Amino acid sequence: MQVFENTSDLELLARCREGEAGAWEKLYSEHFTFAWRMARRLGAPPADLEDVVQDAFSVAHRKLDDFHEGRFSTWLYRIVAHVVAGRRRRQKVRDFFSGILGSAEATHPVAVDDQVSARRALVRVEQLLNQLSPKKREVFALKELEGLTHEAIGELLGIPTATVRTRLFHARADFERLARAEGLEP
Amino acid sequence: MKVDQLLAEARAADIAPPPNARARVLERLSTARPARTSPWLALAGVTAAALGGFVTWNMLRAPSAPAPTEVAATDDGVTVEPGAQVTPTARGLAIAAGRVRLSSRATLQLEVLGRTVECSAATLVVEAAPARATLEVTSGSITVIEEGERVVRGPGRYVLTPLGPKADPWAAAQALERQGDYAGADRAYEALARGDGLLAESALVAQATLRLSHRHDAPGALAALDAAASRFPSGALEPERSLARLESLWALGRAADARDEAQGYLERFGRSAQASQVRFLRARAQEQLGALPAAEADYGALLDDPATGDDASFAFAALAARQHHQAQAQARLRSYLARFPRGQHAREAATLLKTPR
Repeated sequence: MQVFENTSDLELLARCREGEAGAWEKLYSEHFTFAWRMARRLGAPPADLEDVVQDAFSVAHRKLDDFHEGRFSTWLYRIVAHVVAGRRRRQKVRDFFSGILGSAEATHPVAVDDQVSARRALVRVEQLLNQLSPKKREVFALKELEGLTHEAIGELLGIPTATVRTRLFHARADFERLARAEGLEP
Repeated sequence: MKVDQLLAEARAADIAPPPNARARVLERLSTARPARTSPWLALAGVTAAALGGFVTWNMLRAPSAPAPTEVAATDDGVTVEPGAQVTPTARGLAIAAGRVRLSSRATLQLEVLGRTVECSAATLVVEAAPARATLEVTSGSITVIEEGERVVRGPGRYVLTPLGPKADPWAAAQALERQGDYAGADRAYEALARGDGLLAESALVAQATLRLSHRHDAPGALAALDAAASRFPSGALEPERSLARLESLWALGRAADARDEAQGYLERFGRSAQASQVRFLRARAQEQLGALPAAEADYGALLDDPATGDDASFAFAALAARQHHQAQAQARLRSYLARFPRGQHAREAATLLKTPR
């Protein structure tokens, strides 16, 4: 992924802190796709992705001076994760309302193109992922869908690689149990 | 189908952003309203206004001495000339005396005459002495940080003099906070709190607010507030202290204590500008504690309040839903939309009302 190889972030950040609008736009542009993918992997509904990414960059811009060391992408990932978690909490309020008002429909039905089996598979996987705990979902999606290494996941999440492996082990076990209940073979 | 096969197919799904999404979000970012502040209080502003501090600084004056000897720019990092007193720091160098040539590709931080100088892709020569330091920048730019204020300068020759006696420590602490150096601001408030009078009391309250708002340290905030209460039991900032305590208790999930603090505040300072926000928080605490009628009464009284009406009206509807009063919840949602058609919960309210049953 390009974000893990980007070496110009520190220079861009220095220029951003000096108030150079062009530098901020470049930084935004270089990390937009990363933020988008991560938000999706963390379970943000497709219809909400633009809002999530907007919120994340808005927070990042406001708190730019808080970033001192490490990779910008790692710092941005944590902001994205925070935004997604906040929206998930608000979704619970919506779900609570929906339950009381008698709806069984999800507020954000996932758009499915029935002609594309990959999309259909992704939707099915995401429905299973939604039943995992947020921590397990995070490592499972980053490993199995995004294809990151254990080390890269550990860096993004700020946890030791051994913890990534342990969490992933339990996430896989939960995912397979849920998949079997849906009629999939191990 | 097997699990691995499903995952392989899912991995192949394209989740790239759609065309124009990048530009659309950028446009929204550039036109978006500023982020909402905490619905409860903006205490730092209160204390700042109370003291009316402002930052003074006398840096970067035009040089009066003859120009220093020209030194060719180098591209080999840092060259310390014989006799210079240089100490490595976490993010760069502290230069006490002597001549140092630098060429920084990324950001390098210097400490010169008590100031911080950030060099960003810059080539420069620093010549430091106890009474003055000369910075000659031949390319790139430097940022001189004094009392938290940042001044950016491009190529040229600059002289730093020792900080003047009029340095304002309160302004310096606030400037650090504005710049996002929260650890530095915390230390600065700590130092101010060792003094006396209104300044020390303000520093303790400002420290509590800083810890709560920016350092996510509610226990630390409570510790600062306890110190303020113990040292200044009848202090001038008692209302602000109570507000900060209330928010800290709420952040810690201590709903009963937060409710009691809110109750006390409303009894003592019920006519203050923040009273409605405190009442809203009391309602939240009551709701969390299961005292639904009391919460409903508070929300109901705040429906048209300019500061909290948006949140209170939506919470009012949520409370009806929580009590399984379906028709009432729908009526309150409609009422919410009538009051706040562009409110922060308007989309949710509209969605909920359109949900098929």
